Amino acid sequence: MEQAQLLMVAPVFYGAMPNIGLYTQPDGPVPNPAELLPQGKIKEAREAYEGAIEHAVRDMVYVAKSQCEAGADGINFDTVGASGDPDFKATLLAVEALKKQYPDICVEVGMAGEFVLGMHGEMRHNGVRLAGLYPHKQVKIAQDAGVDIFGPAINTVSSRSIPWNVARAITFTKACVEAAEIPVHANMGMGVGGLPLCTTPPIDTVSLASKAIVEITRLDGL
Amino acid sequence: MTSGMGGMRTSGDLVARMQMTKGMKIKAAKKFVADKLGVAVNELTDAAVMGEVREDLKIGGVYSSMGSPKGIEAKHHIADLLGIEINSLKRFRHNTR
Repeated sequence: MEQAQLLMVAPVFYGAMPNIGLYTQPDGPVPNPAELLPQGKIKEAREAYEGAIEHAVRDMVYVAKSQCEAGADGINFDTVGASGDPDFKATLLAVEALKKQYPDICVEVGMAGEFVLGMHGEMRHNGVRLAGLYPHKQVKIAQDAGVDIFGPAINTVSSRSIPWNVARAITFTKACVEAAEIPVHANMGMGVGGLPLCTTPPIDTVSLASKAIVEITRLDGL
Repeated sequence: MTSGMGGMRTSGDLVARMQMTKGMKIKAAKKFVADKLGVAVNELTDAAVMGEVREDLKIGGVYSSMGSPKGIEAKHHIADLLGIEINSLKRFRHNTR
């Protein structure tokens, strides 16, 4: 990062993805909720998620702080919520901790999907339950936590057409942009933002989707 | 991270910096940058105009030419021009004291 910042003119962010699963057994110290839930051990699974969050926040803040010290223009937490509401909660806590120490650093949060899965189910942040939030509500929680740029992600439904998916992505993103007080940079890529699930998306779908989302939602970036 | 608009070929990085540092939405960020550069908003995406503007203001371009500011040097001018703080610049100044 230090070297990159000496050479680059354009802003350079450090990007990483929260990974709650890494802290569960056998990889990590806390019991594995994916094993506890099928056994009907809901309470134990929730406690395991809460334990994993503590470890995740510590690591996310540690890594992000190092990059801030190295001169990063910002930190990008990407695919937030991939493991559901505990993942989202860990990121919100990490953002709050980071902004306390580095109030001027830009923090971008890009989501993993349009809907926060309730893997815990009762996880709340500032009194708001995280499970079940859609982008227009996700952005409000994120901006309250100190996030500077928010990236809604709308997963492509592979059994539907591109126009259907683009229309759906734009509907969610438009509502998010209208609700946001911070800049919104929608995620658009393989299987996200209306684009097909290919490693090399056809250029016509990329052009169509990006043009449509910019003109209809008036978002601040992609 | 250049907020599209042709990136450093035009003014994408500058507009991005205003979104990042001041939380400006795109319309306000583009107006702010256009005013600072002394160009019209619709000229922000004109590569020919912006190429000359960037060279004159020494804020870096896609193609580096001999003697033109590059990297951290260009960022120094960007920070002065836009009136913003750039993290890497702050650290550079601290380390070179």
